[in-house]
Amino acid sequence: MFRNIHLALILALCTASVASSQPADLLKITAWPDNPALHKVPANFKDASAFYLMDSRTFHYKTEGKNIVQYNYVYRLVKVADDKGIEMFNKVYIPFSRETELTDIKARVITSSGKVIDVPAGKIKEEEDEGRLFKLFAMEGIDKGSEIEYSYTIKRSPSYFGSEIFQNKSVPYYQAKILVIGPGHLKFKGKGYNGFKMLPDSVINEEHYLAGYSENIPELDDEKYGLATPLRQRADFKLSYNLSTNPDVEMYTWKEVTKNAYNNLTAYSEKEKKAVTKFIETANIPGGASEEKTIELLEDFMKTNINADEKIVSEDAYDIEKIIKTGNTNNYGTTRLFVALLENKNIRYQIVFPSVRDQLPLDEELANWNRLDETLIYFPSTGKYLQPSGAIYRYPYVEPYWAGTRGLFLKGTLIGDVRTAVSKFDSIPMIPFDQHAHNMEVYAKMDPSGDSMIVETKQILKGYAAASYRPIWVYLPKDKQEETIKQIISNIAKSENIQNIQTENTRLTDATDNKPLVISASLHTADLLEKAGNKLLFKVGELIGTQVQMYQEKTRQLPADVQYPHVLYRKIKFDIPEGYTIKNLNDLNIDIQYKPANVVTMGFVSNYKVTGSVLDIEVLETYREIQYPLSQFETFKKVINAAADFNKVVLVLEKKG
Amino acid sequence: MKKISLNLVPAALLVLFTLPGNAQSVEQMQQYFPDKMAIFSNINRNVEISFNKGVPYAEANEVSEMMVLNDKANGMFNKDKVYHSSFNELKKLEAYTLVPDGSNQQKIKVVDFKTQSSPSNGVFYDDVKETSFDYPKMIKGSISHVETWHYNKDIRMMSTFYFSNYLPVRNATYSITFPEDMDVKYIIKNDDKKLVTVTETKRGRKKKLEFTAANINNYEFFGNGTSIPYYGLHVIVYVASYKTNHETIPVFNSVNELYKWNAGFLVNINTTPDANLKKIADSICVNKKTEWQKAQAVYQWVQGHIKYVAFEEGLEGFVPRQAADVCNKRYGDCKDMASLLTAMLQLSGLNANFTWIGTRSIPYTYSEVPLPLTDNHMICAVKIDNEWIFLDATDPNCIFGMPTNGIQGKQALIGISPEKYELVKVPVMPADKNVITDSTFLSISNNTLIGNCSVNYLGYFGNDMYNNLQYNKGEDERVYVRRRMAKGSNKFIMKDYKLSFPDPAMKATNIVSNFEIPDYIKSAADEIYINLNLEKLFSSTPIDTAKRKVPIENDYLSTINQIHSLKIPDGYSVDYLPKNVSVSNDVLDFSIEYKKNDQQVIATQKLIMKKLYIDPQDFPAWNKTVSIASPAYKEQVVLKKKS
Repeated sequence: MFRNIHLALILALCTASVASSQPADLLKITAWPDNPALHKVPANFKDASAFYLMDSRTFHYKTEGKNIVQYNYVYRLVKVADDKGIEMFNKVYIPFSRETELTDIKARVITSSGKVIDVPAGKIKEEEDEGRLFKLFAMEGIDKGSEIEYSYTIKRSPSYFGSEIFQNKSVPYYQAKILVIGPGHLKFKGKGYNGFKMLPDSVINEEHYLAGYSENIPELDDEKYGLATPLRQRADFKLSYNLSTNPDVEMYTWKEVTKNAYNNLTAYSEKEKKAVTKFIETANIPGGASEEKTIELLEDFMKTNINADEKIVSEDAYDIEKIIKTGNTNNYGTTRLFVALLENKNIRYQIVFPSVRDQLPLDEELANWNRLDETLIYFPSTGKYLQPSGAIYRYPYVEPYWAGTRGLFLKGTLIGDVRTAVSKFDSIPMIPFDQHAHNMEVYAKMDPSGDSMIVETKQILKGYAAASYRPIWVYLPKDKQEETIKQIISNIAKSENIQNIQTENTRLTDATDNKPLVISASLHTADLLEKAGNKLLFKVGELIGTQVQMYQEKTRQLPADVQYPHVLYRKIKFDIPEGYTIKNLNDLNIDIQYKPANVVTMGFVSNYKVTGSVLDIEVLETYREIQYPLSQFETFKKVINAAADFNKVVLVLEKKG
Repeated sequence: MKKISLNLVPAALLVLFTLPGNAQSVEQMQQYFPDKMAIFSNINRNVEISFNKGVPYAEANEVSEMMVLNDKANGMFNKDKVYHSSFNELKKLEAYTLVPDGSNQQKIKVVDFKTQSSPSNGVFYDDVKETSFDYPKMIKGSISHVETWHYNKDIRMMSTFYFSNYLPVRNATYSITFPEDMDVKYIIKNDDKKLVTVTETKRGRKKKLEFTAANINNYEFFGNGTSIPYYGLHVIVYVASYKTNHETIPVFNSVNELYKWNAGFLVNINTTPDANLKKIADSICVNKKTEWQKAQAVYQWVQGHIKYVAFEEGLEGFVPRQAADVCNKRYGDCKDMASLLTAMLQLSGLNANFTWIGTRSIPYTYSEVPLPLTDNHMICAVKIDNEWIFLDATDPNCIFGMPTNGIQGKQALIGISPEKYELVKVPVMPADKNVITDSTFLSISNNTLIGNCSVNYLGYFGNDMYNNLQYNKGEDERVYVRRRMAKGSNKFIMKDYKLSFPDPAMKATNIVSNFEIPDYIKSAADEIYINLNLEKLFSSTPIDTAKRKVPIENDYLSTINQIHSLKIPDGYSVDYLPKNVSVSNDVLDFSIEYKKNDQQVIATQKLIMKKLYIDPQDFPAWNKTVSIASPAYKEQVVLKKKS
């Protein structure tokens, strides 16, 4: 069976790769060529500054004595065409760690004239950064048209999960392949994503071979409202069966990790428990506080007293006694501590590992235990979520990319006397779009002098729109707060004369009841008026602030993601100065909406009415969904650009008669 | 070249000073420094210079204490770092927090430290390390305390002491104790308010210099600002000479000693002629007749073939590599490129020399500060027709004959021979060398503004253009060109464009493009309004002179000319033409001039930037220009249908 597939594949590769002289032999470890020769540039790579001719990664698990040892063998061959390409690849960093052994580094340049220049072993340096070690070296003698070739092996104690990405923002791949080889009794499961193909497992010489490949992989970078990471080509794999012990039962499942994770987060030493009791005493939670109120108070107390820093130096920063003593911890420590507080107060909760939207997602079919980086707490009694590590968020708000997604939910249970957890995947809802608003009320009139305007502005922010502003009042000193608020106000009209600044609901905890954050001020500005002889041009559109525009973009590759759904409702009132008429009010009418099944999922609508000498303008911009597929992207662009168009509307004021 | 970390020096004095926590309450500090979230309550560095077998060395002991005045910003002040390297070895490090506890203080020690590499900006590999840690319990009234003991085996490498910091400083003291027959000099910089007190004392056979200052404002960062040494309050202390056995040993008495020290790094460099290098140099210079042509050809070859990669471990930060090696490897740092340039030019019979220089981020001259910290860069200087030309190959597209823009106006230390040097000021390229000329023809069709522009970039503008085009390829090139062409509004739609390079040696670049800008013009009834200042060359925001005390730094002097010619649509005539404006002062020339004839309206906008550094005393002139430019930018041309 396998052989047929393999053959078909080779044939497919032969026809697809015109210039390739060697069809990828997927079940062979890519060898270091004895006599390197230059390769031709395939037609579709002729404009690339550099590209991978081959990126081959092999993960070989071998039985050595009683142990399994893992060898990661990486081979890369890169063609560089110009200065930019040379500068991308003349420096090479190989990451490894203290627990692993990096051996057998080979590196050389084949210059455009075919001369081979090896990197001498003595010129390979070592460096440590953020707990990771690197071997680094510079490639010698590169010129345009050179090929850069290097390989290395990392020996390590086995890790049974892998995730290999073969697509990045700046360098395309001609060929990429992955090979996972396990001893006869260990069977791996693998899956390719976004176009990366995996072959079924096969057995060669009593070893399991799991191979995957892809070709002609273009660059994929983040775009305006577009998240590249989850959509990059990649291969994930994991160990799934030990055929010598239990061939029918899958190992390393989501269910299994649940128990470990739950235990790590919920088992405490007596000392830790004591420290928690003392800590809670200082929180002064009122006796009669409801469960929900208690949750809110505990969260705010923890977040204002404990510094959560993912780069904390301490290696046991998750120890609760230590957290309380030093006031410092990392993200994991915040979850452990918060769960301990809930346990202490007997509050029912579930632990949730979200599939973070701008990161690699959790695959329900293929467990990757290394991807459980972020944690939320879910409260079944209220149906709401809390993020212990999110210093700027308060219940029920969590990082927006952690909601509107799926997650692995861990629910504690008792089996006999043993506390454990059961788990399932479920959705983590996003708080609905109408809760997130950036609304505006503006009243503008002409200064008696006639060459500037007096503007009363009020910005009303709700939900996530407010969450992004509230840290100003926490993290900035007074003078910088003022500067920043003035900048926010100046986005409506540039002014050196801003007065009567007022703010409401600036505390982080105001998020809980979604109290609107209000920033209001009055200002004098000459910026909104231009003169055309004896006429006045009023740049009314600028009152909604500078807008994102997508008038002339590169070819779009990604669907749109607006981070969180939201509305922007602006009301503008303008006193038409006595003796003037406005000639082009119609420019204020814009209507771009997308309305499947009679519900506006996105839209920009603006209109006006004149009552006496008062002009009232209403502008409503809506993004009801988080994501819009590529098929709706043109409409999405129109809506975004409608706002940018409105921003450019200028009213012509002419003296009557 | 070598970065020497700020946190250098002092030594073994184990005297602990009065804990400021006892001395000053948080309430007092809040009164002194209203609205600040934290301050440095005490920064104290003591350096002791001693001899070991006749060779002087320095030990530095430094205490730095921060008091939290407002702990709302939980986590803002917990992290700290100490830098060290082979020149500045860290012997010992202690840190703790004094946490208010009723009327007492509780001392909580830092127990976890992490040391890792700390490569400097732009350097691929060096041996600078950083040790980081987290202070516990930084609550209101807490005082963090870090104490370091550093060892300097070479007293030439003592670092500068900064009184000012990113937070206000309550008390700062820097002292140096040294043998009485040692000549120690100092330079205090940016002390306009005379905050620093200097005292000199003698005890036994040791002298002590002490610098103290109190209540020093934190520095603020501004857009296009100069680097901190231009305005931060600091003192540079250095050993001019010392005596051993009745003999005076000069260290850095003047530039002579600095040069001698620098020249020492070159002793073994490029001493044996390399046949391959000679062959390459000859092939580059074939058919080049004049020295100028030869030097230009060699410079461009090195720029085009050697990529910037810097390895700076220990002395690698000071010693250039052999030219032949650099040539084979095809990469190197500034010193390596200088080595290759010097060797190749000498092989071609030119008077080329290794040259030390500080980039513009360093404000000192060698004459004022004859120390290693005055330079951070190495280039090659070649003398042709009795004039020095400065060759810096780290910029792959710098124009031969012009210095790189980052060393303009700086003093260069040119090594003539092991004993002889010259100090020469690198020229500042005049504004008429760096020119953008934009000729744009506009017309109106169906209420949309349509244009065709031709823009020429010369001098540093051309240099920048070449650098950017080198890294923006394919669709990115189009995006980049659009960004450079865009004007009018963000609805600027670029159609075709064409790049041409009329003079590659001078990096002259021309871009021709067609565009349209929907919604830019306004029309009502029988009139059309158009603002012909499609680009506002001069910023319209006045400088807040009460706040900003930091100069504005321009990359280079420049001239921009923009000519916008609008074809008057058929059946229309010009109803209103805005007034001309023009400003000229020491800082800049600015003007807008309108002309009309039967067919077109022509608006010419000009901006000439005349100063590299716009100092606070220039700000009023700047603001005056804003007050003239700002209203002028709002003026529209009015076209009216002929009746």
